[in-house]
Amino acid sequence: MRSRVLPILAASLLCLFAPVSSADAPKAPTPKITKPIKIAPIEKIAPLKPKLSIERFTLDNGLRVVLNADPTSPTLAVVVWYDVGSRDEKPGEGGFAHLFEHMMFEGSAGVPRGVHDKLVEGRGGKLNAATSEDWTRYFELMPSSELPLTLYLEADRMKSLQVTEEAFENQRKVVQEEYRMRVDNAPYVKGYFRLMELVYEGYHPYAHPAIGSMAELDAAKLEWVQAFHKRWYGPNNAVVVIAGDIDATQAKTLVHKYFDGVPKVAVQPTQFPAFAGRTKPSGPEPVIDPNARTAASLLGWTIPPDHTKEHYALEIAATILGDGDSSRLQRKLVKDLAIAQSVSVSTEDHRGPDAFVIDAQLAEKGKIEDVEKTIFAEIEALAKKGPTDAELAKARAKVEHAFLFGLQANLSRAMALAKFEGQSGDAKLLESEVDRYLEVTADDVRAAVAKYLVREKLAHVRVLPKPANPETKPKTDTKAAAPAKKKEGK
Amino acid sequence: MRSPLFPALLSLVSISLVGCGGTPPAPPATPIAVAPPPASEAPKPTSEVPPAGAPKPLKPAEVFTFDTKGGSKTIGIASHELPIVHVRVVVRAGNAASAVMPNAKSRAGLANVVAELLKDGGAGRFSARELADRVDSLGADLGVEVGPDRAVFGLSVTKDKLDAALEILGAVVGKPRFDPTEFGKLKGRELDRVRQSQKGSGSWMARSAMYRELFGLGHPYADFDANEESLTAMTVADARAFWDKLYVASNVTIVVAGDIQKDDLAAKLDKHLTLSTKPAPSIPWTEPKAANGLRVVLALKPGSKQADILLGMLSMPRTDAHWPELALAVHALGGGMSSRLFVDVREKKSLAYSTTAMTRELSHGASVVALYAGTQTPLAPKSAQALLEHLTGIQGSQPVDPSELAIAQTSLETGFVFRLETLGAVAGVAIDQVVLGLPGKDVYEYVAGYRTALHSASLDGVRTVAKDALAKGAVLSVAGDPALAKALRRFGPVRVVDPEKAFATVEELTQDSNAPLDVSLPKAPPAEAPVAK
Repeated sequence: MRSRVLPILAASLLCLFAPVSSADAPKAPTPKITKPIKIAPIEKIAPLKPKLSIERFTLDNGLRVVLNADPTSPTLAVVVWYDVGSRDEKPGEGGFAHLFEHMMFEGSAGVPRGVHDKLVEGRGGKLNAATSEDWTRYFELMPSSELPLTLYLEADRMKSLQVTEEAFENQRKVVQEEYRMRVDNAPYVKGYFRLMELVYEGYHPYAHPAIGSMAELDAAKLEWVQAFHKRWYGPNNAVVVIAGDIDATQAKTLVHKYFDGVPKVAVQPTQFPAFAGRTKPSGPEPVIDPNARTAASLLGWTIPPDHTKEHYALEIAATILGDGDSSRLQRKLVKDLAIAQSVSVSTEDHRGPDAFVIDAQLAEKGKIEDVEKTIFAEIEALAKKGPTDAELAKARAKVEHAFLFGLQANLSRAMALAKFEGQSGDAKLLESEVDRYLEVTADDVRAAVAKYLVREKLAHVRVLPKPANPETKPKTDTKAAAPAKKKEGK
Repeated sequence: MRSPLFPALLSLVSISLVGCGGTPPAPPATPIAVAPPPASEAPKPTSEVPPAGAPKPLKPAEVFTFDTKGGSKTIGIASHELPIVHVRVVVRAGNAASAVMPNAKSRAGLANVVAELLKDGGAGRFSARELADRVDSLGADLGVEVGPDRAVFGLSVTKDKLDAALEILGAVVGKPRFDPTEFGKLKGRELDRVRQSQKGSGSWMARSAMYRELFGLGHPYADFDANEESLTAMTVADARAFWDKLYVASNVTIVVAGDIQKDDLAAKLDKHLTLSTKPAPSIPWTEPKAANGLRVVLALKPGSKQADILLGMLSMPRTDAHWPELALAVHALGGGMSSRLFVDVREKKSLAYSTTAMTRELSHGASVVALYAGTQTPLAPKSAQALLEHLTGIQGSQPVDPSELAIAQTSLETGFVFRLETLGAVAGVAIDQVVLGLPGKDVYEYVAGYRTALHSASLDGVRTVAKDALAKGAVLSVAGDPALAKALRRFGPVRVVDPEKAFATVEELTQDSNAPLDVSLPKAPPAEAPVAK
């Protein structure tokens, strides 16, 4: 997940796009205008940017370390970020990076199973971890007096992992319960999985979900655990960030004390296949969802990787299309026409080939064709005319706001710094990241939308509620739907 | 940024951080299993662990209070380190306040609809469209949060935009337009949302059923959300009447935290916030219906692969002097990764990914304590049994031990340091203090007093509270497949309800203490068939 400090999205529409005329789109009722109200513009001052104290260094064993001192609160956050995610999984081994993340809480040489949690909570801290397609990260949130303990615990499990078969089987079942909670019992999720398969046209790193499948979780083996640790979990494949109430000199000494002795691992970077992006349209493909009460339309395109110029432009486009009650699609679909319950426009923010996704969950009275026509019309309009000055100003205000407010908490800063150090090679880039967004022009947005959000490369899924009677066909028109396909690329 | 429609997929978090928990009364009909070994018997680290350091004290911001000219209490929390301001307008107009309305049919969820309408429906000189434009121009989101006892409207902005933010909030709270068209659209969205929850959200169903059973229909706390009937019956006149009664100056508290000056803030509030000076009505509280023994409710979610299990009970009022002991007991039971539920139900028995014990703090009468587990359908009765065993255990057969108490004390005491890490978070604790009627001249004094109480709680005190304060009739509320009904009879008489029919009772089953815990499910259709041709 992209950090809260970067909550900008993107969308784009194509010129080659089979044009959907704005005239075809449903019309919103004309608002009753009484007397025009003059609203004074909000005074604009120079953007406020976060000013962070950032110190970086690298240990002899390759561990990259970022220190961010901020004495505001007597707390600190430690994030240990590993350069491995579900994109590194082989076909048939989906979900293992995440299952392995659970293993990291199951015991190490100096810290038996269950003790890590107890030590952290016994000193007043909190801990957790997360796995994405691109990375895995662990964190502790601690009183600032507990940096030695935190570093000791993280170093111990970085250099050694001692997992029993009992613990492995336990966590396999726990993760399968997680699958039932997040996937089997949640509306629209399987439709999203299918969309990613279509968007990536069999490009395995991002076509498969980070949680894997039940069958893949069943197939995972205990012996994979040590091999995975040996391949990925070494200092030369990790970043440690310490943010909060720290003395930088003291923190540096402690990092050396606990991590200097952690040996390197022989990282074997994944050789990712080439993927130039989608080449053809697919769908609309219906996915029946027993948890959904109303239909949803999911649209996806491939776009350039995160932190590229066009990606910034597409994130601004996504903001203009879907972020806030006054954004184009929120206003039209949800507020004016009331044919959708919600709409979101987002980028996936992958470091590799990325995806642009629009998902609209229909209102009960909404027709999916109307919702889609409206979306296509707005994309087309943005591709032709670009955003207005007011829209661009609002998007920029949201960027500034997100950076300023999103970097207040130690943990938020630590997570953002870890990602920048790990993926972009320099945590200090976080300070100037806001500028990349503010540099985006209206024409950048228009051009990116026109180039990437084209109908010819659209991946399209329609999530449909399960009919009450299995014999009953869905009410929506599925004539145009492509035949069901199995996962591509497997 | 990734889509909020799929929040569960943003990243896979291995462990859910949890709240605090407690125990209910009625002993289960099943034999009590031996509880997991107490923390003191857990394995120890085999190498030298760095010793605990001396925690540093909190650095409080300056706190001041004043009343606006209109008579609303204002709490200012001033810190000038960053040029930002968090504004929160707190109205004692949560879902329980709907009890002041004469039409019982439209009460459930009315508070939420009103708050959303205020945000979405246009206010003062702003049409709905202009209001949305104005908020987005600030770069901010106008947050609306409605709970049982409060509706909170919030904007966080840079210092230079404080005046614009207060103008928006003043209009939203004090000059709503109640546009019938906007009301109709909002009602449609709410109906869609509630219908989706009735069909697809097990946690929503289990919570709804639990609150109804604990408090009894008609009690102000019985409905934590709207339902189809109440929304259908709701009119814009109901919304306006609710606002007219409850959005009055004496019922509103303003909390502002950030780079502020008292005089400047007072002047801006007086300029922008005008509310009626009528007295706020009293909510007609009634005692929840007394109940003995365990009540079991099954909310039907046919075909669900996982059941949501809640074991809830009424406990002591939040303002009770022994609340800290209760919070400690609940934390030991299910408040973290070293708690009993996590260690046993998840890490030993593999019954759940998410399991926790928590308190729901209410401003009037008894608060709620609940234990939770989400478990695959065939094992759900075993999970329910495990929750009951842990409840019984902490009540006496396996009371809180000294090491559990030590962890709970440190964890909860330090938890406040994290809760006060940013000024927005400080504002949140100040709101809790106001709404729940907690002691202390300001938020920092309240926190200091509470942390002292946690620190000085005795083992005997915690054990006594665990034994006595959780014994008022528990409800086992399960949302899941109909096949669970028979096995649940083992724990008590089962009432089967249909969430899609206003939780109407569709079947009542008598208790069967010998009912097997195994659940047989009908054969599933061919696997991997979610894709239609």
